[in-house]
Amino acid sequence: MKLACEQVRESLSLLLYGELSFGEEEAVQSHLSGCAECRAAFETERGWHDSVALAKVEPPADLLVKCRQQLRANLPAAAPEGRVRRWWNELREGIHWGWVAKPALGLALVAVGYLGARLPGAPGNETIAEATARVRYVEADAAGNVRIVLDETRPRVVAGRADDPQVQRWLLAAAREASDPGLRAETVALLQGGAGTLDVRRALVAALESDPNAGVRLKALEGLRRHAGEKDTRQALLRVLGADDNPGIRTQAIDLLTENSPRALDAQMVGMLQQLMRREENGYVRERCEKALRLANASAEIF
Amino acid sequence: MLNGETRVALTGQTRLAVNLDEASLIRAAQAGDQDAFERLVRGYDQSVLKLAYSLLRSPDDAQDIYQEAFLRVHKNLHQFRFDCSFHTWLYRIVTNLCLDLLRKRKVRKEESTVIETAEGPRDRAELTGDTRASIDPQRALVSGQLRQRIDRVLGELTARERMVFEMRHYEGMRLRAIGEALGTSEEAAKNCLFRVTQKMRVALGDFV
Repeated sequence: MKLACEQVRESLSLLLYGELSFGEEEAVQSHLSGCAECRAAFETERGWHDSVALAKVEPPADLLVKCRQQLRANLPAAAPEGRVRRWWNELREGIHWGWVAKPALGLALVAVGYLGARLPGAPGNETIAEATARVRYVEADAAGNVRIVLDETRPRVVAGRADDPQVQRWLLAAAREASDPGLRAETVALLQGGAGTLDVRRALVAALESDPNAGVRLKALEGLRRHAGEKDTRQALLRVLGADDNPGIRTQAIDLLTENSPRALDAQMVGMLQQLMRREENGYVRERCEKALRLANASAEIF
Repeated sequence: MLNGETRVALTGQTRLAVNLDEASLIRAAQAGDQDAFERLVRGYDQSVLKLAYSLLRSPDDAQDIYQEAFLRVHKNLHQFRFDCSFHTWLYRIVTNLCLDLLRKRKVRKEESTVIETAEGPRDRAELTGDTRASIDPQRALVSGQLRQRIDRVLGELTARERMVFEMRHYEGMRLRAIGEALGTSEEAAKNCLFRVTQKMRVALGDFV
C-alpha cells in the first residue's frame, strides 16, 4: 500500500499511540523511511506528544489516603439495600429454597465469625483495635458441635517519635512494602528527619531508585539532599540520572550532584553527564546538564 | 502526627495471606465481604483518582467523583454479571460521573490555569515540569506559554473529546477499552481522538 504524504501525516499520532493496524503501520513506516519531510513532521508530532505528556497534573500525594478514609467511613450506610434487593429478586424469580438456604447459612456463619471477632478480646490493652474476620472453614461433629476457623485482621497502633526505633522500623517497612503510593510518600517524608542513620539513608536510596511513583521518588530525593556529598548517595544519584524516566527527577539529581561543588566533578560524573547529553531528549534536562559540564570546565561531547 | 509523635497503623499482617483473583474478589464482595471490596477498590482507585483529578483539576471534585463512583460500585455490585470486565464496568461509572460534572460546570469555558492545591491556588505552570523559574526565567517563560497553549486547547475540547484524550494520552488506555467505557465503538473513539490530535497539532506544532 503506497501512501501520500497527507495520509501519512494524518496517521502520525495514531502511530505514536500504537493504534494503527499492522498493515497501516507497515505502510506508514515504509513511507517515513523514504520521505525526509514526513520524518520531520513525525518528530514535530512526537514533540507535542511529549510536551503534553509533561503537562500532566498529578493529584496531591495525600488525596488518595483521604479518599480511602472517607470511603471507608461512608460504606456501611450504603451496604444493605443492594443485598436485600438481590435476595428478594432471586426469591421472586423462583429460585429453589435450597439454593438460598446454603449461601444464607454461609453468610450467617460469616456474620457469626465477624461479630464474634469484634467482641473485645483483650480488655485494657489500648493498642489493640477492633478486628475483622473471615471464616476460613467450618466443621461439625456428631455431637452437634460446630467448629469455626477464622482468619483475623487486627489493626494495631504504634505511637512514638519518628526517630523511635520501633516506629522507625515500621516506617521503613511501609516505605518498602506499602501498596499505596500516598502512604509511601508520607512515610518517606517522615523518614527524612532520620536520614542521618544508615538504615534510613538506604531506605531513601531504595525508594529513589526503585519506587514506581515519581512523587515518592521526589520525596526520597529531598530526604537525601543533606547527604548529597556522600559517596553512596552520589553513586545512587548517578544511577538515577541514567535510569529515571522522569525529567523532573533527573533535573533535581543533576542539581544535587552539582550544587555543593560544581567545579569539582569527578571523572565518573563527567562521563555520566556526557553520556546523558548524548541521549537526553528533554531540552531542560540537557540545558542543566550542559551547564554543569561547563562549570566543571568539561566538554558536553564525548570524543 | 501530634506533638512530634508518629502513629503507624498496622494491619497485623504485612502481606495478605491469600491472593484471590479478581473474579473471586468480586464474588466475595458481592457476598458482602468488606475486606474483599476494599481490595477490589485498591486495585483501581489510584487510576480513577488520577483520571478525575486530571479532568477536573480540583481535589474536592476529584474526591467527590471517587466517593460517588465507589459508593455506586458498592451499591450495584450485585448487578455485575461478568459480561464485561470489571475495569470496563467501573470506568463506565467513572466516565459518566466525570462527563456529567464537566458538562454541568462547563469546564471547557471556565477552566483557568489556576488549580487548587493543599497550599492554596497555584498556576499549573508552577506545578508541573519546570519548577525552576527563579534559576532560568527565560526557559520558564517559554514553558509557561506552551502550557497556556496546552490548557487552552484542552479547555476548548468537548467533554467527550477531553475524556477520550485524557484516557488515551495520560492513562494509556487502548481505544477499544475507551470505546467500551464510553458506551461507543472503537472507531468512534478513534475519530474523536483524531479530532483532538488535529487541534493539538495546529496549536502546538510550531512550538515544539
